[in-house]
Amino acid sequence: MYDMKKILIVEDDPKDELLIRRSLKNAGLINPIVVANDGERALDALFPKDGSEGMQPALILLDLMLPRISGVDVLKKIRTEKRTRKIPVVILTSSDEPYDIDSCYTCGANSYVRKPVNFDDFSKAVERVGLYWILTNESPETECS
Amino acid sequence: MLFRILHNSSLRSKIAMLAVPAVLLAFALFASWVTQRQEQAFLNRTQIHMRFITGDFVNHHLKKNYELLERNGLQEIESYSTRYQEDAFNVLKEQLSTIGGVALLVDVSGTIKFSSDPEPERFRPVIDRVLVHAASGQEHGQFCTQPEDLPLGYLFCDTYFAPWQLNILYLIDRQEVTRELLHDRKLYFAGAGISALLTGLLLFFLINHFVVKRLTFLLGAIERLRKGDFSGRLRLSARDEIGRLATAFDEMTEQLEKITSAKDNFNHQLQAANKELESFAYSVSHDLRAPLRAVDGFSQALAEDYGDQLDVDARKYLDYLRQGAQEMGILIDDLLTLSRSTRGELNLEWVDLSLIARAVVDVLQERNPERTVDVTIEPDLKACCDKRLIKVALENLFGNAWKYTGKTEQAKISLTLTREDDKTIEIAIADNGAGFNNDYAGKLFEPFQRLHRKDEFPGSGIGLSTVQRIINRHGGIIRGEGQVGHGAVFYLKLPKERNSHV
Repeated sequence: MYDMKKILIVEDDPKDELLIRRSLKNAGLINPIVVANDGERALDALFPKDGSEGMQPALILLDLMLPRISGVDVLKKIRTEKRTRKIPVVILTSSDEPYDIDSCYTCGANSYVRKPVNFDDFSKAVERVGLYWILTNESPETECS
Repeated sequence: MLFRILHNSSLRSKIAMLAVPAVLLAFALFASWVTQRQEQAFLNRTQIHMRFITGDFVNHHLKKNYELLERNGLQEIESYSTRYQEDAFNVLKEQLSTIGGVALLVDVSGTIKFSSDPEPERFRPVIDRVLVHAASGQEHGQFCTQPEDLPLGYLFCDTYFAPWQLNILYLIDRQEVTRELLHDRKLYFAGAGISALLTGLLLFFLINHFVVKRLTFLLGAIERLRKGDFSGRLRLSARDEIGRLATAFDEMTEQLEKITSAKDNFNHQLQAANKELESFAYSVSHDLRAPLRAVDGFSQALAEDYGDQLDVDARKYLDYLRQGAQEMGILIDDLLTLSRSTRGELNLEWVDLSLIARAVVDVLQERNPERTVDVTIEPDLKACCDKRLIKVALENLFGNAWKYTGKTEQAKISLTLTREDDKTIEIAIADNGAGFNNDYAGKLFEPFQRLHRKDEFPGSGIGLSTVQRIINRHGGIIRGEGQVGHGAVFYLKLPKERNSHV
């Protein structure tokens, strides 16, 4: 049977998680979804400590404001490991601070989507993300410090 | 030329250039005055001396010999009188051999009868003078002229001996008299010159020590102060003007240090407050929006997924719920923009306002593709500003123009240059929309002030105060003019250079 590629959602707010799942479903993305509630668990899933092979998702939706390990640090780790550096990462966050946007792109985010209050917009954004993922599935070389 | 050199040279070389020569000149003038006085006194004394000698000769020797002859009645006999005259004259000649000078005995006809000099004829002009004097019938006592009257460089003294009708002339070469004096004078000048030089140097070192060095010290302190080092103090103990200057300077430095440290302290507090505000705004941006997202998102889900189970009213209420949440979201966004426009560093660069305006209008058109608005933007309007912030300002202004022309037929929006000089540029953003009552123009830029009802034109009432803060941070000025039903114009005055204010 065809093994559907997984989508990893790193999100600490369960309500947001639910809304994201719904938007993905409405956008027609029926891939299996794995959720990590914070940065630490996201890194555990991608790079298990027991040495077993980590998860290889097709897309990572990453929140920035996370407990313990921040989204930017997770992104840095993903971009430094050879196995994961080409996975598309889309930042999903409430912040539209120029500093945050800049640092995400510097660290190799493929896209930056602001979680809007209006979920019509959000659904459209997720549709765009889905399209992007299907079309390219490529990650740029990064210059993250 | 000299003035220019003096103007540019240091105080020390000025003193060296002026003080030393000035003292030397003063000493030279003084020395020449003193020596002249000295010479005059010397000559006067010599003349008195000469008078005494001739007087002595006439009164003692000549008169004695005459009386001797007179007693014997031989005074009229030529040979006797000549011999006795010669005797007396020889005594005088003897005296002259030690004290110098020339003596002449001349009779009334001008014949030189005796002379101590082998060439007495060279004194003829003097003799003539004396005879003129005698002929004019003036009293013929002792008679000395000033040396200037003599054609020869001689001092002279004349006495008349009436019984034999003889003129006794006594002359001394002036140079002979003053030779010794001249020798002394050379020594005197040398001494005076050296002491003048020493005095000049002393003066130089005194001024250097008490004025120039202290001024240099003061200058160094001012230089340090200029570089922002407030720790130095001069602490001059002197009580003269420079000392007082130094004391005043110390006091001033102390005050400056206090003010600066207070200012630094204030700046630190301000920075801390700014940082706090920044993190506050950041968490507001993130945390305040999360619940709203839940409200909006789930009410949307409810409407979409369970809409068929709800009646019309319930769906309407759900719509109101979503509208409220979205308005709240816009309000939070606007507040964030307002707070962001007043904090953070200004990243000044040369910005093409026309290009930004065009991009802003393109976004507006994209959002409302059904609208037809006649937009004219004058090209190449440039100012020195923060690109990101000025874009926010133009977004707000064009957004307003776009919004308030929403009910206007043949809507027009324009960006034009109204005034420009070397340092500033003034542009105007005009529309022919709803406008506003000019009486309320002053309230335009106050936060949450709205001149229209929300159901007419939506908005948070924060946009223009954000614009004003952005323009003010650039050192610029914004003002608005309006007329109800005829549109509004906003004038922006912006600097064209860094650190310049309009």
